[in-house]
Amino acid sequence: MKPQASQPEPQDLTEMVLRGVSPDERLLMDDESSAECERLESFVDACRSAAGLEEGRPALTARFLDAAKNEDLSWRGDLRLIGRFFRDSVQASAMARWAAASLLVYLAALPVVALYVLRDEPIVPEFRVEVGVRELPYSEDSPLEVSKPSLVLDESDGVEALLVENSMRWSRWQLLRLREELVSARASFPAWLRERTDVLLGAASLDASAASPSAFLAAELALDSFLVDNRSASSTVAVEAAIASLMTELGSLDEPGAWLALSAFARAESYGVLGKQAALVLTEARESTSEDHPYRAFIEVDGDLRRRLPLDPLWVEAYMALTPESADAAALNKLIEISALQER
Amino acid sequence: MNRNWNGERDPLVALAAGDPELFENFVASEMGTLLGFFRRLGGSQAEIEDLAQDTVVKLYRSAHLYSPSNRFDAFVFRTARNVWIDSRRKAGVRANLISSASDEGSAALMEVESGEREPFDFIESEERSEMLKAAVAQLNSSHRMAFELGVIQGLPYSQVGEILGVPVGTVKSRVHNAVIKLRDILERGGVG
Repeated sequence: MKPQASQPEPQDLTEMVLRGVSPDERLLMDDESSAECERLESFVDACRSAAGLEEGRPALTARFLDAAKNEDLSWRGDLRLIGRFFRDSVQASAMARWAAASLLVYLAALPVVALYVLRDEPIVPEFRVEVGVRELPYSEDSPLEVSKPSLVLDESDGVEALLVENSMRWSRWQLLRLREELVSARASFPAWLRERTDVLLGAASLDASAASPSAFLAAELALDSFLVDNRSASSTVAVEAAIASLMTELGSLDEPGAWLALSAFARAESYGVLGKQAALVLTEARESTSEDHPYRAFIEVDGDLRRRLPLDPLWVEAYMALTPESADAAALNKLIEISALQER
Repeated sequence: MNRNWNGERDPLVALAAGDPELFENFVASEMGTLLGFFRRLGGSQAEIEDLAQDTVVKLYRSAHLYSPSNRFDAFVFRTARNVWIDSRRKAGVRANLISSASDEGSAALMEVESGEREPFDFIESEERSEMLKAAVAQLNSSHRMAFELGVIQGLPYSQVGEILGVPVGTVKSRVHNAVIKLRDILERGGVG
């Protein structure tokens, strides 16, 4: 009589048959399981026997080994395999073909698009005939603009008055454009430069009673005030006094100082407030100074304009060179940077 | 497999070490195993020769990357299975093949006379092989592969699971179901 034991599940029985049933396991099986086990063993043996007919042929063996040994095991062979893989993938799938075609189009178009985007537009000279009123190169809404009625020009000094008006408007236009940069840079300026900036920005008025450290700075401050206040009577008086003071000192000035004085004369001339005596000095300086003199720009007139900013970096540099206590390289650099933004 | 190629007799280890003799012996000895493997999965004669050759070439190429793990036979069947899957993917005709193989199998089964016998009894060996191939062709692909590796090749369930990438429990279930189904097919064909 066989001992009572739990019988294997059908799946377990199959597994046992495949790995080989041990005598102990067979002893524990009941009659039904044992019969099933024998049927399974017979079936598996028959299957294996039927499957074992396949014979290798020497010619086939030689073919396989030749194919294997002819394989290129270098990186070229790997590359060929990868290429074959991609070729097969593309051949097998319409989606892959579509993706590959899209990629090719993209890669082909990319350089053309990049060239189009990155290429600088050629500078083409533009010629045009303008009829009617030209747009003003300054803003009518500017706080620096005329706050009082414009002067009524008489016909005798019409051209000169127009040139003066043109110069002053040009200067105001530049101040307006550079206003933001000047405001942000103001804090880093030394006190004397900050004072000029404030006057030019309309944030402070000229304090005529305050003693200026030098006649050059006093003259420029007076001119700044004259420009911003639109030729007010008090600023006109201040300019005339400053120019007269410079004229008095001119004989005793060394060359850098003389150039600062000439710069003030030229600026006063462009604003139409230069006296005859100073104008003669200026004319003489223009005739006797070579074109390539470094300070020639102070007195130069370009067409109908003296194209120097009210806060002229060249003047500031010369002033700092003349008065070492006022020197501030960072402020000068900032001013040069700002002046580069001026509109020609 | 006809012989044990694991451990010291690992053909790929010898090949990587510069000795091709063991690999050549392996190909000569086990070519029938590979051909039978692909034949039972449903390939035509020309196709199974190409697939067996691809398997040998892949094994040869992988020698320098092969890390010996005393499971050379499992490695061979995993390679063969990948070759088979690639071929099906390329052809994209799995359904047609199964269908045609099923027809072929049905025809072979119909030719067998009925009687109170176990499957394969009193049948000539070549006929047995054809019958088995025809019956296996009626299994679905996962049962077919499990039957081939677990029953015909006699690999342990754990190795079959590794090759197929499924848990042992799944292998157990697939092999058992494949056996039951095959017995049923062969018996319904008039054998049992």
